[in-house]
Amino acid sequence: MGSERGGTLIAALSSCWYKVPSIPVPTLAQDNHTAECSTTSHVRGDMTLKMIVFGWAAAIACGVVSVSATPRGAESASSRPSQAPPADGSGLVLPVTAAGATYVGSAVCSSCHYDKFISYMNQPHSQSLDPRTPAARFGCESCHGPASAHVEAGGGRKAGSLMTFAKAVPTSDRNAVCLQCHTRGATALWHGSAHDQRKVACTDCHAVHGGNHKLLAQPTQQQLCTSCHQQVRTALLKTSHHPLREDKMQCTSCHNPHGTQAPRLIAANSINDKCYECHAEKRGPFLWEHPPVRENCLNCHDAHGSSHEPMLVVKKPLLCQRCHSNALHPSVLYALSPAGQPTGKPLAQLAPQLAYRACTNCHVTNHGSNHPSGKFWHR
Amino acid sequence: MSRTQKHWWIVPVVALAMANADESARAAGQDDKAAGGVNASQITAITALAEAAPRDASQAAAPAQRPLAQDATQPDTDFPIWFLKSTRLIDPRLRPSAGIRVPRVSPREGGPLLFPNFPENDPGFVGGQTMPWSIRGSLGLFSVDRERDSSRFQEYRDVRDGTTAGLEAHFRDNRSVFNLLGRQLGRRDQDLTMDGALVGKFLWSAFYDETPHTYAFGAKSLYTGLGTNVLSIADSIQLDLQNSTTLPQATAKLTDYFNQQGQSFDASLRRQKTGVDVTLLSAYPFALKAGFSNESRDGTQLASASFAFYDFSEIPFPVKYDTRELKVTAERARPESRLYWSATYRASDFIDRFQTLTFDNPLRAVDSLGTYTTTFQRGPATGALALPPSNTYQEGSTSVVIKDLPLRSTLNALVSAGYLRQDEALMPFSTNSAVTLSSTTNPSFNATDLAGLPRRTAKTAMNTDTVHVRWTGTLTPKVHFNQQYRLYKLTNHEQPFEMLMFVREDQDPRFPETAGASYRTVLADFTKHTSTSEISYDAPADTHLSATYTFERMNRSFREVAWMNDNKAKVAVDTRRFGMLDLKSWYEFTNRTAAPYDNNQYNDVQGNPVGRPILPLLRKFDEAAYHKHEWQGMVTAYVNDATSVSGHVELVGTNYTDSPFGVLWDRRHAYGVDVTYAPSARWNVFADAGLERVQYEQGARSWRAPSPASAAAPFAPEPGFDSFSNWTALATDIYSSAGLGFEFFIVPEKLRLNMQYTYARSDGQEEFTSPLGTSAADDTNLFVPLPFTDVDDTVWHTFNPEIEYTLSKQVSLSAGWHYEKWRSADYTTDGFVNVNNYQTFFPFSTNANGLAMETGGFLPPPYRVNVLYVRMKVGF
Repeated sequence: MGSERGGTLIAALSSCWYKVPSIPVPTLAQDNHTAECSTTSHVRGDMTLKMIVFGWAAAIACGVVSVSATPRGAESASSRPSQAPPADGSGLVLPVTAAGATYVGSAVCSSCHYDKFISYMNQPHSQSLDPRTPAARFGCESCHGPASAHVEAGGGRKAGSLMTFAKAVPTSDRNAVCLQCHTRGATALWHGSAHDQRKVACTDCHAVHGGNHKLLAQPTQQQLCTSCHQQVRTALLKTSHHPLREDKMQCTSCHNPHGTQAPRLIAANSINDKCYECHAEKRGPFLWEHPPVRENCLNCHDAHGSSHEPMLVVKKPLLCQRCHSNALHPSVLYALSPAGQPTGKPLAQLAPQLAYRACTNCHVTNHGSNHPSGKFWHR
Repeated sequence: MSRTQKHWWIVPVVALAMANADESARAAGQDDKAAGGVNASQITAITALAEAAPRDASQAAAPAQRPLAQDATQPDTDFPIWFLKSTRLIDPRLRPSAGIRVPRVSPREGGPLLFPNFPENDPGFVGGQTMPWSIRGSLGLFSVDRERDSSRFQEYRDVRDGTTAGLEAHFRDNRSVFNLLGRQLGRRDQDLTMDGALVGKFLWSAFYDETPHTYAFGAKSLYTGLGTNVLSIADSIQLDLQNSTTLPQATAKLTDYFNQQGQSFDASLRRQKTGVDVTLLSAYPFALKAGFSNESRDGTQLASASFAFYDFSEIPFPVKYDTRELKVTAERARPESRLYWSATYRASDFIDRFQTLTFDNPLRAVDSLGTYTTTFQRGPATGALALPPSNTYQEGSTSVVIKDLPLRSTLNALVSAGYLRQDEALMPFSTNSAVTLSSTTNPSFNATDLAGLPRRTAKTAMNTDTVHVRWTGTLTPKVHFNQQYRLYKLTNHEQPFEMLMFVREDQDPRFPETAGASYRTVLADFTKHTSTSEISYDAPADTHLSATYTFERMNRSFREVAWMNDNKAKVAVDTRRFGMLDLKSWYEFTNRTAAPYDNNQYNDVQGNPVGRPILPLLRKFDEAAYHKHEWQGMVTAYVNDATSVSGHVELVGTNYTDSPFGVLWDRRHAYGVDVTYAPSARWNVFADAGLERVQYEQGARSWRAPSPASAAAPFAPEPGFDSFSNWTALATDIYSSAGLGFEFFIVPEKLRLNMQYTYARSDGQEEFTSPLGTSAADDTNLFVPLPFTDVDDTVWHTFNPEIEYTLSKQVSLSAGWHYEKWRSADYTTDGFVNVNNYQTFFPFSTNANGLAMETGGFLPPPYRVNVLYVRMKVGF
């Protein structure tokens, strides 16, 4: 596989220079290579085509380099000053740091970065028996790169050019590290997803060191997601709401923030399909369908919350009157005395098409009816 | 004391662990380097970093034998200790989790391990230990006053006097993991989750969750048989009401019966969900995941059903639902591979234990033929309602992701097919034995006999097909593209249910108004194509510019508008300047065009091929042409290590371009801001505020024909837009919210004070306008426009100070007071009475007034609740 990729890349290099990734990251396919075969020392994101070609040719000549065209962004991760790319036999592209840097081991890291180390040990990343974890490779340095230069410099920020996940580091660089391993399940469709396109970093939401459940940077998903989607926070506090603020539902009950095929990151084939997962009684199909209901639940409901029961986008009867203003049925707002003034009764006692459940005082099966006489959703 | 100094003791622990690991490695016949281990000299290196003896990459990798881990993470070592700390909220019910959040700035060096607002001892504490188990329990004693004042307070939670327990346990050794979290144990909102793993072999999880949904405390009803599908009213009551001579007399009788014999009940659902998931990983790179869950809903829900205009009764209908889900997924994924593949099968069965509901008509003891303007003088003795039918849904899908394609692109695709079926037995057209009318075209019509149905079962079926392809890649090092195509197709396979007449509200036989016509069921059937092209550019300073064009076409059958085209153009900028300023902003313009309106479609559905009933020029909002502008901006500034400020603006405006009736335009403006200030580990403050303003205008025309017989009149004389009978509504909803959180460690690591306040308010109003005509002949609109100032107005406050004292690493005590207040005002319920004689909208008909009987469960009363609690957390 690796040599095939190498061939593909060389062909691409030869035929179309602008298709070349800025910095392809070589991965050592064999284990007996040496640092002398390294080809990407001092490469940077703006290096010239010539340098890329030369470097890759040299690497391939060594017979030890395969090419992994990594996800977008990984190339800039490799733009950091580098010695040999790390190798652990997995074919993964691991972060590289200062020239000549080597691995020191997590224990050394823990001597200074005790907080980080403990947080790492308290999560699945540290399960060394799982071959897919950082612990099964280079521990801390699986994500941060070989740290000997950092150690020799006595530590400190930027010392040894360790890979860090600070906000100053380009989003794509940071994400590339995580996406090396997180390619399945919920994260399989990250590439091209809404959050990917908007340059959201994995570490914007996840605090790998010191995170909460699922390594979230906030105690609950609701708190996390609404830190950006602040209009949703206001919605969640409205009277008619799903039980998110009671923590009986979460944002991921409906959305997959890592990417889906459906609009709005809905974790189903459509919005309605998602709603039917819990509200299967609305699923039908009914003898008498109400087409706007079938087309999109959000035609009438705001799933994030509303002041209008039950989570309606606007209050009845105006909601219904957005479509229904017919003869053979009233489209008057309310019936007052002939003089045009209230009869002394409050509206709740006066106008049945306004009061209480408004239109659904009578049209009760407006989600669809299975009654032979349910044509107008009375039954 | 710095973190390093504080943990000086780790040095000998590390050394010991290294030594143990070294022995283990030797015992396994591995040398230090092969194992990727740290040898004895490196123990020295740990204690004297300057003398560290790092290995180079080749040493680390050669030869590639398992395990490659560092000694610190080697199996069978005692190092390091596991804290197994939890950051889960153990009782999130009191504090609205949406209202407040913790600081997003990282703790300062030397600060606590976690974010200061939720330190490590929340909810329990950190018990550093070397044993693999960590167990924590929480026991809270709650005293709640006025807990039953309003169901709104208990809507999705169970906060009452008594105890609330929480349990958390973690186990971990080198081969297995187990986690357990139980919250509100013993309460109606309890949940219990467990998960575990045999590392690298399989994962499993199981959960049990209860969520109440309380609709009403103390609702009142004359019906007996609550919880069943037969709701009865004593025959004597029905007979007495039937024998009334006037509507006021019937109203007075019903009021008396209701007050004297109506029984009080709570309307609520109990939702219980149990599930288990297992994921097999041992066949790497394949993973097989299977999950099963069962959700049952049991209780009583409220709805209305009518017998004629305004003769409606609110009925507590029984809910006994089960939803069973099976999902099996096979997945192939290797991080280093170009190919990801998965296939999923999902089956979902929904079972409703009750298919029908019969409910007595309080106004009638004997069936008689009625009309839609009937009052107590006519109608059925019993009505029947179709409850949600049992159904099944099956779905198969497969998706692939291929990376490393030309242009450094990634392609992902999904194909999915779903099958939704429902074939419940149908009920007769009516329960009303007096409905024996027949039309000339349907002489054998029998409303109460199943033989009168066109078919005996529903035979409804729908298929859903989804195809999605996304291709994303790089054109040049700085220019990226993203192409998507999506198809969602819903196909209705139901054979139209065609009938010559039916019975409305169990009393009103309906014939098509056009001779020879028939009624047909309305089928939903549509196809939606969405194509998106996006191109983006990586500018300097981590700035990302993008432009997107989306075309969406929706083809529909059986609706007035056969197709709609949406053209959307969007530009966006995302930037992080110097890491301290995070700005995201986008603007999108949408132009929707639609097919000409087909009024015949509407008339066909109505059974009136020659028809006329729909208001001319009305365009239903979901299929009307429009122009839409939407702009959002989000910015977060990390002012310094202690402070961050974040703001959000969203402006949306839609103008419906060819629709003089219906929705004319709508606007939505939302603003949000939050501030985090965490100057030290000892205290921090978080505050947020949000404001949202929703406004829209819609128009309609009042109809007041001289009589029903001339129902064609309302629009015929004025088929155009202008009319004195027109009215418009301008509705405005203003939502505001605010939150303030404060935490202060009075005594560091010992005594913590935490306070949180949340405020949410909604303020709605509707204003109406209508031109005044010169006479009743040219202005059939009788109402004088009045503003409705109370439209779902609510105010909600929560305040929760809590103090926690940590006695030791094992025990902590906390005490708190939670205050919550909610009130509402709304014109639809202000002045509500259970039994009411509604005034008709037919000014021309004196017999059209109706008599309604309602439970009062729709809008809960206001509440003001105090909760005092103490909580002890113990762990080991």
